[in-house]
Amino acid sequence: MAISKTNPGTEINVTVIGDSVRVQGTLSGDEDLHVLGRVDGRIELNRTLVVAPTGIVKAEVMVKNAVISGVVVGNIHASESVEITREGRMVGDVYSPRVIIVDGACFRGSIDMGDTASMAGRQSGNERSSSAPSTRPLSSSSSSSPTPSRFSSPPSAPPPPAWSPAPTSAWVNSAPVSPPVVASVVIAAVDEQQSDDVETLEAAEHEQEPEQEIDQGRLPTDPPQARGFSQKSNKARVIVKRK
Amino acid sequence: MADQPCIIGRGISIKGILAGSEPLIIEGAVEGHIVLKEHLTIKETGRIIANVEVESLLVYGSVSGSIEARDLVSLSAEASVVADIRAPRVVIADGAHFRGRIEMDVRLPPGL
Repeated sequence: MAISKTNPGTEINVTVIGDSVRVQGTLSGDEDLHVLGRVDGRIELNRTLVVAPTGIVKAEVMVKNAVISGVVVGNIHASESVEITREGRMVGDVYSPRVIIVDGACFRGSIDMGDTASMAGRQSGNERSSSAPSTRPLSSSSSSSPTPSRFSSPPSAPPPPAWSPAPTSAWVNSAPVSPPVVASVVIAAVDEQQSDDVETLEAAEHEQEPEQEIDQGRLPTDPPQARGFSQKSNKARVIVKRK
Repeated sequence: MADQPCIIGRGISIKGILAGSEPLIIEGAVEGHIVLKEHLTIKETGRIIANVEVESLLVYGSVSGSIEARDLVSLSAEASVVADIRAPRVVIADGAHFRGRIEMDVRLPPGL
């Protein structure tokens, strides 16, 4: 049966869908959800979804974190992280800044972690971690903005599809637990940008273009760290200018 | 020869087809096509824009293109990969950056 319980010592509620329970429809809430049975439809949570090894989820999933040890068929949008464990099996697309796939897990689908820049900012112990803003707001606001890949020639993959923090920022912000550093940077950047005028944004994009071309010329000899840093600092300058 | 793995140094950049049948470590830049019957390691300084066909692949650096492995593809925390991956085993470490498709065999329960 489905039960709601409070873990001793913590304030976090956990709802458990027992292994004989099947839910069809939309499941939404503000507490952790452990699925041992089956859920068909849609799951919207501000917290963590755990699909146990016996659990089957055939749904469109919007959560903060997802840990998959069972079967998931459908797309997952996670504002923080998705982990597919050794027993996990998933078919569908994942949109999340952090995705972990453990050896033994099975996965078929596409993964989008957003831009390379937000990844660089997430690495702890990195000297540019605090100063690197995400470029995702720029790329989501304009199709002409350059793909912020570390490669200077464009990769075959198209610019990031549909998912951007903008549509989901409402429920991200409403989450009582504060998101990780990078996530908050992203949200801050979005907010700034929304109150900004388009001209500044276009200027910022033009500013980036010459640097990309220079990169192309000196690709073979430049250490990637140096190039990555110069791009980061350029983006940092853009943000400061907008303030 | 065999005990000393082949290394493409960080000062080297290759454009074209890279084929071989011994383990390879890439620290430089390769653009084009890589076909290897053995294990390939792409170090932190390695930058690959290529279609990669290998036995197994371990990435610390950056890869763009497509990856096909007969065994394992492992992306370490430092890796930055924009590619479509087809392999029986794919591992993505926490911190790795990836965008693209992953094709593994997924055995689903009947009725799904």
